[in-house]
Amino acid sequence: MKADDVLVISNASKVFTMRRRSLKRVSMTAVDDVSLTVRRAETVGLVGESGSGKSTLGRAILRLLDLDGGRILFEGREIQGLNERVFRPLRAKIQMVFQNPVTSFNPTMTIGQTLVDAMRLSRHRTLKQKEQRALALLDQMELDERFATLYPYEMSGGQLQRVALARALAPEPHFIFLDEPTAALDMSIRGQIINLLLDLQRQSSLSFIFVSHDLRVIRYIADRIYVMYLGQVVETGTKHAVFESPHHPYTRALLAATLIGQGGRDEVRRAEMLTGEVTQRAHDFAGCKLYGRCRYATERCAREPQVLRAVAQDHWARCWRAEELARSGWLVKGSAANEEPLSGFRQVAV
Amino acid sequence: MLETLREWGFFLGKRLAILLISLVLMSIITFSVTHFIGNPVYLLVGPRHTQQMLDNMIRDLGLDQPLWQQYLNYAGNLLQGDLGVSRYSYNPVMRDIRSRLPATLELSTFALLLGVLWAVPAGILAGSRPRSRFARIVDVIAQAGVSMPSFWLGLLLIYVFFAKLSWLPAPLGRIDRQYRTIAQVTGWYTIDTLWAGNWNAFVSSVKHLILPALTLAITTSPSTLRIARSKTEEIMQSDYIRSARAFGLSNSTVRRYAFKNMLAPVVTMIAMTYGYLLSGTVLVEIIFTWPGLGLYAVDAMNHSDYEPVMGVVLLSAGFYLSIYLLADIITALIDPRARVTK
Repeated sequence: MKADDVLVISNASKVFTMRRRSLKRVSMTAVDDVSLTVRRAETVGLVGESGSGKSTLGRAILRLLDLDGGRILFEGREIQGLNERVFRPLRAKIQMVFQNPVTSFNPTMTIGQTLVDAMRLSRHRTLKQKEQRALALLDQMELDERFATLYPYEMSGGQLQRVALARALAPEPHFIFLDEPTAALDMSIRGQIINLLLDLQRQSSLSFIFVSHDLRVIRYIADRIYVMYLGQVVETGTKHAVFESPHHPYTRALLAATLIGQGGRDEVRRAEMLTGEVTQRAHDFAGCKLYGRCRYATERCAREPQVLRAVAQDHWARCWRAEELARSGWLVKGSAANEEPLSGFRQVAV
Repeated sequence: MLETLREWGFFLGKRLAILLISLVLMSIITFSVTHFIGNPVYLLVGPRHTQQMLDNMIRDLGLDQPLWQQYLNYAGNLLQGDLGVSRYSYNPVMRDIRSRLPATLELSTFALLLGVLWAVPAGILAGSRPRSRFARIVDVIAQAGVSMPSFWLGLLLIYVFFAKLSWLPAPLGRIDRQYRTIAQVTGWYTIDTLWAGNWNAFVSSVKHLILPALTLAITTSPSTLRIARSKTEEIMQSDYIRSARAFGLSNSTVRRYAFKNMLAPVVTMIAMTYGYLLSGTVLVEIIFTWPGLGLYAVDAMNHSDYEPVMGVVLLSAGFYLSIYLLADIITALIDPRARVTK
């Protein structure tokens, strides 16, 4: 653990057991041996399709659920297994923003009440000071003071998501888990929120985990990237490494999918994409979890579970053919669409 | 503040207007339906009548007037609190209803209370621990309650508690014969007996009330239970409860929030149940020979006696609508979204 590590997760795992109609117990590994580090003032991008364990990880970090194995160190302190009374003071330091701004607010409380509520742990502030801070936060989000008296249903999704950010900032956290904070918003609002996040990070050295399906957003905001598939990290590295030289077939497929229709050779990108869907069987399959959907799969992939291994400096992938694939060249390298895919964001920002 | 007052003014005004319009429509509908069904005159004059008797009867009852005129007469009387006269017993319908309403009110209110007292806490508990054994047991009970017909359950309870165990009196009316002379203040025996300070009479009235009330409580409470349960479950897993926890709000505060947000739909469901109970107790009234409105309406229907039927239907509609209004007001107090009128 280094001095500037804010959050260190090591070998986290979580298995959910469900009882099916047949009364047979079915277990599902939501998080499978995940290790992840977030440094101070850094944004970690977490990518993966639904069911890849991203949200479970987020809830574990916020201690809204317990892991089955592994450790979570927050600012050097083990938070797994802490009871609520001991952990509660730390809650102010760890915050979360949810994907759907509409459901993340109590419909019967005004925005002002919600913001004041979020400062429950700031015992050093009086109610008056909390109210003032709530207004100041709204102002920082470029929201008028009058929003404090409104109810959530009276606001738009974009406004609510900014309030959600204000709420997450209210207890002065060091780390915020952003669970697809822009997915429910339209394009122009998306840009605003993201720029707001970057400004905040610069001002107060905040650390983020930013979960998203949208690789273009990730590319814009993240410093380092973790790609997850069925609870496992399949590739991780700096943004540059992952985007410019993706080593894992899954990462390549994701990238190819986002670039279709952006000009250039779509047929090559289509070939790179996965086939089929995630099946329940993949969870207890012995070999590589991508087997069956991967165009590069061989007989060895079916037999042998894959491990995350270093493929370059600060770059890891969970595939024995990683180097071979990377050497074969990356089809979108140098294409015009890939140079500055998010150039639009700055322009729409207010 | 002014904004809020205006909002409330709009809200209440609109609801009251809807209530009045519904009542007028209801009176038109019941009036037309009962008058289209058939002419009761032949039943009234008996088999050995002359044309003269028939014509007189028709004129006396005003049935020779056009239908709209008949309705206006009826509505005019209605406004003066006159529901007409039963053509069978020649009793004023208002008086009949007034003497029978307390029996129905007492039974439905106790049934509702019994149901709510178990269904809401059980629903909340089951909803907070949806996978627990308790939740599963509650599900089974609710499922059983919903699938049992009330007349069957009533008979079963009578069989067990009266015929087999003899713990409770025979299902004949509201109180033992010797206490029937007790002074009528509210018409609710449970209250009047206490008012008179007659403990034995009170016990007797409770013993008579408990089985029909239980029957209705068991068969009508599952809907409230389901709503309470599913809403609690949904809210406890909602993002805003999650964030409330993440902000370090205590468990009791989180539970208070969840309870408040669960309340609105539950109140609506309770109101619906109450409305149903006031008009839907007929079968249970028959089984327990409970002298309530349901029995009265059924008797009247069997005799093609319009006025009591219309009276009971209108009264039930009025009750339904008032209870809904009350539920709407409570909902609006809890949930700001419900106040918005568009």
